[in-house]
Amino acid sequence: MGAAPRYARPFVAVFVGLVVACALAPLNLWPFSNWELFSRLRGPVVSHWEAVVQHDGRVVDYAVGPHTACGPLLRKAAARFGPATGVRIYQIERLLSDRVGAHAAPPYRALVVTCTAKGARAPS
Amino acid sequence: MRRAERWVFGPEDARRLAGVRIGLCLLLAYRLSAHDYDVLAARHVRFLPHFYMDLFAHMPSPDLASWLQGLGIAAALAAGLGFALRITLPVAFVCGLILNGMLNSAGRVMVRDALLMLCLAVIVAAGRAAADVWAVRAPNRTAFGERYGWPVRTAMVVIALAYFFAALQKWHYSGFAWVTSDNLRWILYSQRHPDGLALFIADRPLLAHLFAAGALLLETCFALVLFVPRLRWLIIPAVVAMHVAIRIALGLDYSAQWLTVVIVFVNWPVVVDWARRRLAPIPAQEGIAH
Repeated sequence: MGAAPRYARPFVAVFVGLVVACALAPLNLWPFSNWELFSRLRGPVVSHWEAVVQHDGRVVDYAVGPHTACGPLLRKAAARFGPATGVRIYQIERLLSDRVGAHAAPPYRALVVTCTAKGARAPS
Repeated sequence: MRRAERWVFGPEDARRLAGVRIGLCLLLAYRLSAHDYDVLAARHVRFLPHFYMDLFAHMPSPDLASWLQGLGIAAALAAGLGFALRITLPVAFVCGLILNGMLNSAGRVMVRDALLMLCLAVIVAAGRAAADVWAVRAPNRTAFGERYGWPVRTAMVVIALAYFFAALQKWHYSGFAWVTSDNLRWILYSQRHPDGLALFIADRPLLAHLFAAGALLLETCFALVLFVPRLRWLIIPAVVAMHVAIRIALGLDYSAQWLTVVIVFVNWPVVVDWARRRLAPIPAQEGIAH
């Protein structure tokens, strides 16, 4: 009545083994986790790339990956917003400690390239 | 190794396992009720199936999500009562897996409910033993044995390993710089709308180093609770405080994790016996009555 079932020992060995293996591999097979949350060092600057399109007289911006080629970018913009005359790509950088009161200071924007039907144009 | 096995498979009060069953099932019911899974399913987010969610060709429909949510909550509550445990607990567990899998297949894997589900998996494996007492239709009796000890202690080991590996990954990827660099300040600053506590710590480098050192020390030493039970009085409240501070400062809700820690490590029979003694009427002394 009070003894552990026969499957208990193999179950514990396999279950605990999986917890250890997923952490060491590392594998993120939820709910088995690699427990890597916040384990890597953060830097003082965060940066991302942003595409800016003129659409119906409005400026629309959206995030893009770095080093995205102009051709696919223009095709995506045309599919999303209609015929686009040009897509400007900016690198956005934010110094995390740069603040205005409780709010983050505006990020620094640098124009990287302008994509048009004629090709890519670097900023002058 | 033999000592570890003897410890895991040592005898235990049946009420302790039942207390863990009730606590984890109520927590699962609460967690399943805290999300709008049907809204997520209706948003047509890109389905990036995580691990076992490959079983689904696409994100489950809003109707299926609602149905699973209702079934999961009802089954978790029934399992908490110890009603038809061999059926209700696995059903609640599978509903939890699928619904959490939906959240994890929307582009980002959430760790926060992982520990709850791992500990529930152990209680599922315990089978009927988890409902031998403190359950509807269970005889009002006391029981003691190995079959009640291994699920609780396996859950304890899993929790200790989770905190140990969270620390190990920090040591592995960042080393002591996790404490000595401005890493924690950048984490706090990098939120979209950091609150007062986050900015208070981030604006004071020394304080940020102290918090980082405290968190890393706590995670590294957590496993001591397995070997020195008296340390539970110090380490478990410290872990709860750490998760509450993370909730306030970073807005990350780890309540499922710290509640799981509390449910598994509290000795429920002792708490209940203590409460009974405190609440029981004090019998009138004969000498005074006459």
